[in-house]
Amino acid sequence: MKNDYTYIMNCLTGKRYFRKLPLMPALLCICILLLSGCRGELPVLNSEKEYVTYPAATQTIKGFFLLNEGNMGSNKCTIDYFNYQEGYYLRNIYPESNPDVVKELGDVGNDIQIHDGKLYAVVNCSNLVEVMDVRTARHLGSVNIPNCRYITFNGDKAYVSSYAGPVQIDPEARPGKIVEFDTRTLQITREVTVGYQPEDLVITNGRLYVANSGGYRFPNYDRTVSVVDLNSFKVVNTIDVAINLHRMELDKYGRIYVTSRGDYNGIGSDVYIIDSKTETVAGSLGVSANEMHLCGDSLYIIGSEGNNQQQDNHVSYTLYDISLDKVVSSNFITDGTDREIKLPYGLAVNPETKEIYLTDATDYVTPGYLFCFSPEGKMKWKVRTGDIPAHIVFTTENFYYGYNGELPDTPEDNHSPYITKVLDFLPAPGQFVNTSPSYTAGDTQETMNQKAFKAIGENRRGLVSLGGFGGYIVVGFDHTIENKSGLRDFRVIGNAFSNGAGGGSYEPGVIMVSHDSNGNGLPDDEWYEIAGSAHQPDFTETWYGKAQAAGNDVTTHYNYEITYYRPEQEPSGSTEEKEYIHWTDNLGREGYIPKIIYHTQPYYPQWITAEKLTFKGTCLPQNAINEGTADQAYHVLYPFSYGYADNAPYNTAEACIDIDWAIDVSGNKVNLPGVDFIKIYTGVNQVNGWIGECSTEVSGIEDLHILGEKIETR
Amino acid sequence: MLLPIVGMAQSKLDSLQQLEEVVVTARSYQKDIVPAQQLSGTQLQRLSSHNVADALRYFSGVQIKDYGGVGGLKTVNIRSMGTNHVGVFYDGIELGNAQNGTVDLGRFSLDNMEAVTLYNGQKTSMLQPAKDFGSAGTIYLQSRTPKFEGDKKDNVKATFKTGSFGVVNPALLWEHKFNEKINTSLSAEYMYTTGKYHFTYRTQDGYDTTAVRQNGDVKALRIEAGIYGKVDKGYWKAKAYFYNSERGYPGAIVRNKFNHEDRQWDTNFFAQGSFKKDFTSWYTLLVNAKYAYDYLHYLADPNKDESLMYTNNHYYQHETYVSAANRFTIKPFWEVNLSADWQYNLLNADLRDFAYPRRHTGMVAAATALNFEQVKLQASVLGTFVHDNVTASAESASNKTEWTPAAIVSYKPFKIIDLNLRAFYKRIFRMPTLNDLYYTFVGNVDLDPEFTNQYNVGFTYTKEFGNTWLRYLEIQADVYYNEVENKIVATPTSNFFRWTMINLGKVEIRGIDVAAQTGWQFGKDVRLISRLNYTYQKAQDFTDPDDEFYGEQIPYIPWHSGSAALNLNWKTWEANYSFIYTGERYSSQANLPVNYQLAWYTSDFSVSKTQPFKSSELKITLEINNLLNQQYEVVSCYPMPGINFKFIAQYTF
Repeated sequence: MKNDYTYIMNCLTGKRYFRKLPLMPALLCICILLLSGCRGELPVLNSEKEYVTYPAATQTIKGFFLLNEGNMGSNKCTIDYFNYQEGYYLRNIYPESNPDVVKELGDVGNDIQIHDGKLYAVVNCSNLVEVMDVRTARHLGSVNIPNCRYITFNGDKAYVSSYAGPVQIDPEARPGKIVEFDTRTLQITREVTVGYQPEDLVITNGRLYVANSGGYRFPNYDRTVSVVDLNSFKVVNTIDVAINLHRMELDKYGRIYVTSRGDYNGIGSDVYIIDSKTETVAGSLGVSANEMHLCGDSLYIIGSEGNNQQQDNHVSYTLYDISLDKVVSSNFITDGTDREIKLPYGLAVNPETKEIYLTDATDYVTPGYLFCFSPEGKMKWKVRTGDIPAHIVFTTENFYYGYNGELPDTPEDNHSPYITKVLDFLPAPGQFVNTSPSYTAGDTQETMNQKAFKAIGENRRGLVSLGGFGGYIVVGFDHTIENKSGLRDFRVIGNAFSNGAGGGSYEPGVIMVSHDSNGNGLPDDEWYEIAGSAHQPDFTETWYGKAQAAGNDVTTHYNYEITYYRPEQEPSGSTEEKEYIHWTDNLGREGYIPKIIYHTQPYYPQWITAEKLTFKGTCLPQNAINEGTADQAYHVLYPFSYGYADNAPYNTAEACIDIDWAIDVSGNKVNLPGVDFIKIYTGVNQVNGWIGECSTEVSGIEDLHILGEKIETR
Repeated sequence: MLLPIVGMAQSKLDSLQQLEEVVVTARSYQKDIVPAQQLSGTQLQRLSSHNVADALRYFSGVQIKDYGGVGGLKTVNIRSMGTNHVGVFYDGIELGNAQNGTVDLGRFSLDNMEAVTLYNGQKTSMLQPAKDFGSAGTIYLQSRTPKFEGDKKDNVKATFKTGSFGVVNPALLWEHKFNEKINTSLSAEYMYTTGKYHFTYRTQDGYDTTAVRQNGDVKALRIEAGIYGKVDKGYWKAKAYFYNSERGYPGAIVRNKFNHEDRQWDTNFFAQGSFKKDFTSWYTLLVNAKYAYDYLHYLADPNKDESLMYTNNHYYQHETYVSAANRFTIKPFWEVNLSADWQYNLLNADLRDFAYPRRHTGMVAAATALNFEQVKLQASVLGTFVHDNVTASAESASNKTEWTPAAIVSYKPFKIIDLNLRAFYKRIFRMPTLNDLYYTFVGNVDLDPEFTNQYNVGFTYTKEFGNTWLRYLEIQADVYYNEVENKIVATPTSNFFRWTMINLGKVEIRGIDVAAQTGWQFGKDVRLISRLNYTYQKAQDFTDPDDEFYGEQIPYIPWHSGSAALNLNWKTWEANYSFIYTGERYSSQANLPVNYQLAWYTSDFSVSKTQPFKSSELKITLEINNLLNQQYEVVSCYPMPGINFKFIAQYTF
């Protein structure tokens, strides 16, 4: 190197060292050839996962897909996915699931829908409808439809609006069409010519209604809705509505709401109501409307006031009640965060939770954002999307990302990574007992176990509360969770979260494991406790000092025993509420689980007939500190370093447990080949003012090895 | 062959003298007091280029946007300030496009070009029209001026090029000497290409597909005639130019759509003339005039494809331009330039609700230069006055008056060492184009001009040697900081079916340009010239501090780029190797993996042999471009050609 350097410097300084001259071009050539060999290929883009909110219990809706349109000519139409159960957002799921599809999803998405286990994306400028497996986004096929716009379904048939009708003599008059294809064969079956540049479409009573825009014919916009009879597949009626029609929603009364975009230049936008029974226009809402979404009786509408004048960014968020026939809110975003949205674009509402989703297309050429609002219109979270986020569809299936080979019907060895049975569930008295899961008269231990399983089994991610110290749940799996050395083996999902300053909401539970050594499938083998940080002699957490100062007991009590007594009656009056459920322990102490005003149901497990309940185990240091005042209590619950349930945000490594941490009753480390049963019990005996007793919550357990997650032990 | 220019000759550069120098040397521009780069006729040929845009790739600080193939649009962006800030001058008069402000440099053939010169800031001549002060960066295209050796009365050059992409490209140049005072020149060129080539899209462990680029065909005819006269202490010249073409738009390659069919027809005509004379020892006058007509016809679907919006538009532009520039030599070391220009633009189109804009632009410039032995100073100020008229039903932009300065200084610290330090500051703007202001629906008449501020410091160093193998060495390096204010960008409106133009953006560019050239001679017959360029640019968008992508690199500007060229001569043989490198960059201001663009680099090689006959000469050249068959894109979704070949035969007598 040094010689080359000297040589180059000599060249530059003009010294007479020119004997090695031919080297220079030779060197250059070599450099270039080397460089040429280095240029890699672009890798297949992997999806980007971002946790945006807390895990949430779900009903039937597991998540949603969001279609990003992407600018024309950029081939950047992408699909994102949101998972409610884990609270994560996945950007751009299509390429990794379909590395073999040339040029990915395509150019300019315009609609996304789910029908019968398949996910359909209408990709406008790629002239196709992409058909995918809704569980994996794997390409199943595609249907070529030039200039396709929107899609809807009826039975086994899909109906797609397209600008590309048959060519007429007048080149400027190009009517659009509706294309019907079979969703099983993906073959086009019928076509019918409708109005100019047809957009959204709905089907009711065997008739299809499509909004014609005439957008290519400015200023001679179309102003009709074409009605197609699905039997004859002929246009049987044409309803004159207003210029430049676009979106459609069908309500339960058979009324069709259709937006008119106006002419962007004087004539404003509006929403018209068509009565599908009479096929007449019943009126208009008189509100500006760029986009709308119907959910139950609520029609959500985004509009921009005024006409086309530049820099006019006044946006309206109208909520219209279709049963009352009136505008009930002129701004359904109530916390002022709508000011953060540069260019509101897409709109959807979760029909179960009524959460509102708004997309921000910002400047069209950089990624946009998705905003989630509570039903009351307060912003909950926000996440970056692809370019021009626009269309959302909710899914009731679990979505498995990154599967580009076999379907996840058959995960590795056919084993489920999740809880497959609940063997025992006995919460200690607590504020969520009899509600999570809920007790109804006649329930037995058996049925309560089933209810607990329905809440947290098979990755359903509901929640069970274990009540005060000692309350427990015992779960099993359809296989042995392998103990792999050096790796954590399973994850316990709770509802812990961090306040970002060391504390948060941590209600630690002790974890016990058991290997089905006798092979009878029952949890009647030896149990071992996972020794977390508070199990270690001489181990102190940084917050112990503060806790002691607050009067907390920071000793770990082994072989602790507590007995709760069934209250004679439900309390009335504050004294009785404070002294609701009496307990005594084997250290000679006693106390009460109080009743708190937020939870009024009985706290003693109602399916238990015994007059008292005794629990045994390791009692952990009291981890909650009131950092407010006596009057204005602010309880901060601190986590242990590792080794407990509900003691770490579930997406962090400390939510994951290494079976190698297990110890026997004498405190000696044991070597287990794996575990078949896991028991979790509330590990802290502490009552924290108005937030109630410390009670561990569990919403699931996952076998990390089956999920393919490699998380190193500590 | 390689005479350096010295002393006053340089300070008195004007357009004609420039031509003469070009003949003598290829590298006089190194010492200009603003950063300047030049490729002259022979070098242009050697770089195996076939159009002006290809040649500009060898300059530092320049990005070419190339949509691929022979017919694809090619525009140039100097130091990341944007295409609209580049002035392109053809034989001393600007090529305008009032409609969209950009010139497609892919259309200008190098066949009859003598020099391509790029100035950052402005040319430092003290006799130039006001317009020459009016751009942030300027490219001068100089066509060949007739020259006759000895008693020769006619020069004829016939060229034929063919090769990949079905190229058929004959050209003829005839220069005739009428008398001692008048020469004429006639040049004609026809070019046809199918524009077809194979391209491959491939991802690692993913898809791998190869297809043929379609709809990139071009048919183009160019005819130019010039007449060149000498008068006492001056000259006059006039030129007529005609260009007619039909081409397909190759379009973006997206999923399921590898073919496009939209087409464009162009007709460009201009006639221009210049007159220059030294009336006294202290006063020189230069007068320029031009008339230009541009016609563009765009048709979206000649095949009546039902899936497309029917678009069939015709645009007509007329431009009239006159200029008078005056040079006063007050002292031998002190010159003053005063010039005044007037330009009229008219745009008609068969678009609905079209505004039919007409624009009057008046420009006055005052400049002064002080040239001492070791220090040179220049200062100029340009006044621009714009008045638009539109049809009665539309709204017109308000009148604009802008005054913009420039200051240049150069210093030679040592009398015997040819080292020059230089610095310049320039503030200039571009007017919103007629499209920005008046395009139906999108235009915004409230737009302000878009300004740039440039700050540059640098040096040049030249050393000549006697009888060593290394004959000369030239290095120039500049460091610069540019700002673009009030950047005009297209943005969606709150009514999201509509876009509009607004003054929104702010961009800051920090860059380094380095160029080095060496000449070598081994024995009697072997000569080698090497040329290296390197550019570093950090071009950041600082429009909106709340934006997640605030401060990120603007689209398509690589951090690193460069080129290298080697030219070897041995008797009648010549070999060239050139290498162009464009580093990694992003296709969007959001510098995310999804927008990542791989670096690309191409190697081109050519060999030629010149065979002299009695009074004529035949030169045969074989070019291999993109030798390593790299599959690359300059603009996302617009694939570039892989390895391709060209054969050139040129006969002169």
